[in-house]
Amino acid sequence: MKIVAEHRVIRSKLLSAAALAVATSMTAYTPMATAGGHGGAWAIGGLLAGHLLTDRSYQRREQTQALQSMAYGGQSGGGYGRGAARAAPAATSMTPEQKLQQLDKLAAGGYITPQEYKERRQAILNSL
Amino acid sequence: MPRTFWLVIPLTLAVTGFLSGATAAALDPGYLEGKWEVNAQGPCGDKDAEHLILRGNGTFEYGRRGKAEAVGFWRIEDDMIGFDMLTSPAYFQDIHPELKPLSGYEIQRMQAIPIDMQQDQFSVVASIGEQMKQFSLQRCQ
Repeated sequence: MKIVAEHRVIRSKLLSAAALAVATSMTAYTPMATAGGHGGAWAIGGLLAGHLLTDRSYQRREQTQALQSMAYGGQSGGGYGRGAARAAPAATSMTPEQKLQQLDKLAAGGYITPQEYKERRQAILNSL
Repeated sequence: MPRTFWLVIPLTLAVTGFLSGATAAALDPGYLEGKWEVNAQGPCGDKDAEHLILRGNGTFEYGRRGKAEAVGFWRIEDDMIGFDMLTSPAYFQDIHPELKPLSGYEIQRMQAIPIDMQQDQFSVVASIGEQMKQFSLQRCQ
């Protein structure tokens, strides 16, 4: 028990040291003057926007993956990493009604085109 | 020459340490409280600049061009400053136009490691998710 606690402390200290090392190296190679406050290089805004964008891309990929699994009977080809692992079980456990509801949400959110919506909807209906 | 060299190094380190110690500030709520300008290009007070207001009651506001774009809570977490905030992708369309059709509010978390802390300015390495950036903060009031 005591050994486990000591290991945790050591790991925590190592993480802190690593973070500090990253911070120090960034200080050395990215001078403050290069990151202008506004006019194209927002600091916190850029950080937030970048994260929101990647987060959105991930969500969109995941929903597309779920959609593909849904439309093709759960025959996921993988390829999207995190999304593939989560989407497949969801597709197999969903009823056609739930699939249609999710499809409606995807269309309403602008994640798929009207043409894709029609095709996927027809695929779900054909599977009945 | 070698003898002088070995005398100069410790002396330089001692002087540098003394000077940095004289101007360094401690990471505590009292120090952080106030209005800070991000990556200030000149005298503090640029209306269009990014600002961060850290209040004594634990809330904060981040904004650009005088407009609040994220609000939430801040606190000191060991050697870092933690920010839990509510913001909207719609506010950042000018940075990433792909965010344009998105609306609503989202909760985000930022962690910042302060470095080079001086009396009225310091730098941080901040991260949100996998994004990481370094910037400076200058005290405005």
